[in-house]
Amino acid sequence: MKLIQLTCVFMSLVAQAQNTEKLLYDHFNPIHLQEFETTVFYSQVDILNSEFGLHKSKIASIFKLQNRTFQFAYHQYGYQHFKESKYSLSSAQELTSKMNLGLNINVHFLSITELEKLHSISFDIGYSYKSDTYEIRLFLENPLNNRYIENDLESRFIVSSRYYWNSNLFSELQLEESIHSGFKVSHQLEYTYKDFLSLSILQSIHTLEYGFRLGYKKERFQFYSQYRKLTWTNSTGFALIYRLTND
Amino acid sequence: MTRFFYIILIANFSCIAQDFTKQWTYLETINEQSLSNDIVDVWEYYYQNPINLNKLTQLYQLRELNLLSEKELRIITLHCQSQELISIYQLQALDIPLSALKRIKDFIYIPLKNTPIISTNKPRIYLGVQFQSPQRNGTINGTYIGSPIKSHLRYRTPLIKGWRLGLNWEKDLGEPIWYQNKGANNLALNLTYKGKGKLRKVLIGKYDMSIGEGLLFGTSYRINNPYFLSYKPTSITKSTLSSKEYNYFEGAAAQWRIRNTDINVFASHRYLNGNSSIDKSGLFRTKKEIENLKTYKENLIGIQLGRNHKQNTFSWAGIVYNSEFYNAKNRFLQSAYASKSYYNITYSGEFALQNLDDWAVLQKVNISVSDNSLFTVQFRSRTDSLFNDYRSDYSSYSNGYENGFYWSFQHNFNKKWQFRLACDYFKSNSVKTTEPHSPKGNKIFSEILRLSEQRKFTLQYQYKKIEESEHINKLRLVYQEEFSEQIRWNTKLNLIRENKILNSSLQTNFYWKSLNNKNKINFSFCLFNTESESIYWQAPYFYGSYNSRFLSGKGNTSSLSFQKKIDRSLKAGMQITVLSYYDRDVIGIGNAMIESNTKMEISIYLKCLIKNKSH
Repeated sequence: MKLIQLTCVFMSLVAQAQNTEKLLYDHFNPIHLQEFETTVFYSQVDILNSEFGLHKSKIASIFKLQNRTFQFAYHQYGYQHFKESKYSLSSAQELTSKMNLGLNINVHFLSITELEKLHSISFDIGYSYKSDTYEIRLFLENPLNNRYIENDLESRFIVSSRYYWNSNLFSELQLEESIHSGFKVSHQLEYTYKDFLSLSILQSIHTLEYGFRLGYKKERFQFYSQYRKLTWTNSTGFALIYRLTND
Repeated sequence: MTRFFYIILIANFSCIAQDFTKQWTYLETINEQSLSNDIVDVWEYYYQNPINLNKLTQLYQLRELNLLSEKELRIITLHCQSQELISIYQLQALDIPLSALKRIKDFIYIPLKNTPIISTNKPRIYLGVQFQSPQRNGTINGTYIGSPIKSHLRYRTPLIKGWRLGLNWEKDLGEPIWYQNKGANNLALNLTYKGKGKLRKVLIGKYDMSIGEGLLFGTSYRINNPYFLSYKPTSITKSTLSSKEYNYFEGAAAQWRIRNTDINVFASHRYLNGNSSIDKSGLFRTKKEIENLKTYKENLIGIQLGRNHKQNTFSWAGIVYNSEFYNAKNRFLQSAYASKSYYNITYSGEFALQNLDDWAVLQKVNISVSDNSLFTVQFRSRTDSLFNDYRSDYSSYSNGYENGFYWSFQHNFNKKWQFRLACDYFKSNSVKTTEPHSPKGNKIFSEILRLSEQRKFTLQYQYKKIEESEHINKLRLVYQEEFSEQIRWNTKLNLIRENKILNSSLQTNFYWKSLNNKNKINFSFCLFNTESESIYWQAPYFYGSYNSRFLSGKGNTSSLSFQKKIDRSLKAGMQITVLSYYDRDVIGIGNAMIESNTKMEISIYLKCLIKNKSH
């Protein structure tokens, strides 16, 4: 029975070789790139405050070059008078069959009305260990605390683990230590129905936040809709993912 | 022949060992804050003076290693008491995890016709240096008298017929090697003798002393985990080559054993540091700091008589203590200790007396149920004017809280899971001038532990409440996984909540070793974010340099270390530690200030085993 269960989970991992929902995290851990074999384009928008247009958006492409997977992404955060943008180039390296190491190189631009434009460079490091039923990931965001002026770029350290209960269900626990927002522990539970419909429940224990995400897959397209209750606002998000070839 | 083979085998293992990573990692999971160079000194001592499992009097010293659980200790002790072993590998037949036996393997032996093991009879040298960048203000402006390099030399060698010589010389950053008119900086020189006749032990030099439960004297290393007291006195005096600059004695001690009675005689003469109070920092870098060096004469002379018979122990000690810091008046201190085991119940108690006026008492009962549960109750009380300078580290047992009642319960659900719970209630018995006049409080500590060969998981919760002050909640989580034979990873989460403010740190460590075990690389990263309480941080194990500190504020710290075994007798290592703050422009104050928010420490060591042709 255990063998059957393990086989199912393993098959599910193969089926989910391109776990696209991992692209939708608040942070992008570059080790995820190791799971992408085909070219992918995706775009994501989170509306944080519709009254004055505060939003967070991302447009990115994942592609292979000389047998190595890269991602080039453009991120934007802000509203009319405050815009922070970031260009990221990411890649990952397989260390062993179970371990991966990844790197993001980011160029940041800050534009505030009537103020001088600022820019900065930072990097992030990701690491993962994957076994048949679980996965452990680390993410060091801006470990050298690079900045525009002083402590204005986020610096985080995230440890997360994912456990596959069966072929359709996994849960993920994430411990996050941030210089800006302190400690946070969050949990996610995702159920996939017949590989085309998925539902995730997101919850943070400290600070108390919650939300859900619905995903739908149709041939090469995937569509995600997300709602999150954050401590300071309600966020509504959408994401569209397009693969150049089928799985 | 078989025994000879085993001894050669153990000797070979021992030759290439003396790397305490396994032991360090075990304690790291249990209680990180108890890790210090003192415990490594204990391990080194027993590495060179291994415990003879066939000697009942030495068997109890297994406890001092702090590497076995109560249950494991009990099983080994009972087994060794019931039969004479011919090999340490016979312990594998016991119901004890192999990992536990691996941890103590280097410290135990079975002798051939009572001949001490030969592998330890080799001189060893350790040389370590550490320097910082950027340099401190005291170095830049010349206020620090010594060089900005911390250096450490340690040498141990056997002499003839059971005699050994040890030397430890350490100077901190900014300190000179030699002080004018005040001699060498933190130099310890030890001469020890270990015999098999009536004269069992002679110590000359720096030593630790532990009497009874430690109400008066308890300077030996004991795991500073105040909530699961598993202390049992073993040796009264023990030579130390630790670099500690306080909490030790210096002089001579001897032990005789006549039938079942031990007679210990000891004397100490040294100078304490300080001015209006005893200086325990051990830092003497500027002219002003050096004025506090060796200022008060301290003398001590005493005798201890102890008798061990079956499961019973009785001892009495009389000590005359004199210190210029306390108006040079002699204090006559006495300690009476008794311990008795009756089936699964063990009672132990100590009564201490000072000049027939002040007293202290501690009584403890341990009850074990099957092999899986242990219940401990302890009561302690003392007058507040009792001598308090060298007592053991008890839970909340200071001049502020002289009375206490403690109980703890631990249960092993199975071979992997363990649960522990302890409560400690404490109260002052001297009336304070300000409110609360008789402060009291309590602490609760609980722990869930899962230990297997591949994974270790510890979840600890501590609650502390002291009258008229904020409650403190502490949560600590440690998870460790062996990814492969070569790679080990762990993560540690520390949360401290006080007055609705959360202080936190998240740390991760990687340990890699090569297939031939000759190269080791460790990497550690920790991000911390605190406002009201500092958080303890411990770098991965690196021989000779125990980079641990309390972190407060916002920032990160990382370390990278590389250790290489060049050949069987030479080992070298380098560690780089970087501490970077996000919430300040400079680190420290005064002469210790660094004009940057980032500092880097580089530690290098060389460890050498000198080949001895006579063996």
